[in-house]
Amino acid sequence: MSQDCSAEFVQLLTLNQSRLYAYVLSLVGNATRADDVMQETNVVLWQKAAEFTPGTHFTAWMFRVAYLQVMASRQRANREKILFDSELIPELAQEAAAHFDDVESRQRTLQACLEKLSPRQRDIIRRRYSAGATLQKIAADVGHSAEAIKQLLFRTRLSLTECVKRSLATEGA
Amino acid sequence: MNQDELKELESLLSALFENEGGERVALQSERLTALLKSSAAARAMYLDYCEMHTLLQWEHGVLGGLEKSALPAQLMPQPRSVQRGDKRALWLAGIAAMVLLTAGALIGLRGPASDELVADVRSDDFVARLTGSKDATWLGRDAALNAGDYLEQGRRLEIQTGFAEVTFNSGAQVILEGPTSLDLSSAWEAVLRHGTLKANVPAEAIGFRIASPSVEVIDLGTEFSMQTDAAGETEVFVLKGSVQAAHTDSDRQNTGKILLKEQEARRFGKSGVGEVKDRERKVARWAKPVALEHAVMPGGFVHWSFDETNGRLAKAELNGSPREAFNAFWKSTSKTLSVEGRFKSAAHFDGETFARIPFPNISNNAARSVVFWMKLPPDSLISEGDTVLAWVRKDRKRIAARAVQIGWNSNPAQGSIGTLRTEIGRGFVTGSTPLRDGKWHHIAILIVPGEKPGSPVHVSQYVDGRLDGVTSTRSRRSGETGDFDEPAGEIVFLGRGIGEQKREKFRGDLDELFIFERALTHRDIRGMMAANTPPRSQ
Repeated sequence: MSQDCSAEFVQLLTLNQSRLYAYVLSLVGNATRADDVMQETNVVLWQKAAEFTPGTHFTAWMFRVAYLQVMASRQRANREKILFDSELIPELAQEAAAHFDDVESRQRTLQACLEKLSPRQRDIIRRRYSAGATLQKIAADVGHSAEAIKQLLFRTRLSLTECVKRSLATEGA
Repeated sequence: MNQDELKELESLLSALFENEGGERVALQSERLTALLKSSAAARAMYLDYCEMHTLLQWEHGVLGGLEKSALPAQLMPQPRSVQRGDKRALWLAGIAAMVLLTAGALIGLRGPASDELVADVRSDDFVARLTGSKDATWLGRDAALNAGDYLEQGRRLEIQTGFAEVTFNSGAQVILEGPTSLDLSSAWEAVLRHGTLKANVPAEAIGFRIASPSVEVIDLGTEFSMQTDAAGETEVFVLKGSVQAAHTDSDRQNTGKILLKEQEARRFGKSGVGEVKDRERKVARWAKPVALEHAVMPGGFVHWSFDETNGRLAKAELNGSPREAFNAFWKSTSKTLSVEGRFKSAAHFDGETFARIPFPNISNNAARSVVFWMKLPPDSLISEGDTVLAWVRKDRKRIAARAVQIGWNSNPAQGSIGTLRTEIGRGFVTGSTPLRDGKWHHIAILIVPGEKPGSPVHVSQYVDGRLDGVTSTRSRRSGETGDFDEPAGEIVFLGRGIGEQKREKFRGDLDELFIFERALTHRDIRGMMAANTPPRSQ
């Protein structure tokens, strides 16, 4: 691969990491396993970099490679650790590829939506994501039950999703 | 999906994403599968949820990548080497080889040797800094080393006892344990001659490599340790992530590469590759953190958030407090143009206007760091203004004046168009990351004067936290030195350059500009990128 192609490939792969992660996560349903599959997928993508034709649809190719890695990891994994059955996976994969087509715009909009959260919601999100705290740790730190924090996190994620969708719809209007 | 099913789905998702499965995983998985199979709305909600979880991880720097990668420094007790944020780099491993290849190739792109000898600007003369230590004693000339010192390319560090932390310009951090001897080959590579080290490599520095007489270890986003004995035999331990290890035999031939994953270890000797004796005990020892004392780096800063604008001016803060004297003024015929920024509002430059900041002593030949967010429109033309920030720098005797101009490269003869460019007089550094994409990029530029009068000024450029300045040379034509046709001293210009050739105005957005009176460390830059707060100076 020429230096230009290699640089372009690095850039494409780097720009698509969050999209790839969302795709893998949705198919394995577990953050730790998603990390492993991501790592393996990145290795394979690089090994197969020469097969990618610049100018063609990078994400479609990337998702295909990731799908095969997900399937390989399912074969290796303990049956009890597999979240979905093999009937659901192909359908979910197809919908996921389409669903995550516009991750970048949502990523861009998220910052403004985070600022619209209440201070309490922002604090819990920060503790969960920036500091990586568990439910139990957050609950102990802020003096609420783990169940209450779980609910709050769930509601906050939902309202962020709605906010992002609304903002993009307004932008596009 | 009816209300009961919706509630059930919510509960399942909540449990799934908070890792609450436990023994109920099998049952949950069955129910979730059934719900997703039966309803398109349930699948859409599930995918939305996966996406939001991903975006929040990304936004908070838990996921790696070159755009967004750092946890705020203040959230991470030292030493950083044992924090969870490192895990984020794991799955970026595949990018390592590419980055390495690209960096390697670009290093070969430097300008002609004759120009290099007289360059005003260098980007490869110092490659690392001593950023922390504990009870360290050094051999030879290293005895004079102080925390915060710059370490030049080719330097051999000889630590006798104790620990020392070296932060490479690429962002890789290496803790040495005496007695150890390490050669600093570049911002991306080092040679362990003998002794013991632990390396912690953030996502931006994937591809960093350390060689010993018996093995070359290429980092794939990880934390690893190496111990090399007097005979050159080396034990490699992977604490997190994975590395690629290439064995070198007694004939200095490379005998093949192996991939070592988390918790794996190998011994690389003259006779071959073998298992490490007592592996678990040794790995546990490496995983133990070392309480280092970190370098205290004083130095003030001025910050323009562009959130508070008033007619022609944007307010400034000096060391965190409002300071009118540094307010930025737009020229009399125009107003500040405020747009949505990376953090709150940003200043928009429309190709017509520019601003001036009175900045006492900006022309000093002192160390500086300039940090900001910049967004360039994808349709930026090379005929437009390419300079976002400029001032005049004078040498120690304050005789020769050189324009410092920071912006994007519009000269195809001097690097890729649209990449970051820092020009000082006739010397310049250009990067490799395309910036004309309509997206916010985090820019940090470190300027360090040479040790001797007349020696080149060192420039390190970082784009989105990653070292991005590998070409350095001297141009015969471009660049401004000498007398300027306007009193440019002690003023920082925003949105235009200095001198006849730089009259075109900049088009794009600028946010959260900081100017520091010192060279930041890579850790500082990553922290600022994630949290938009300056590093604490004690």
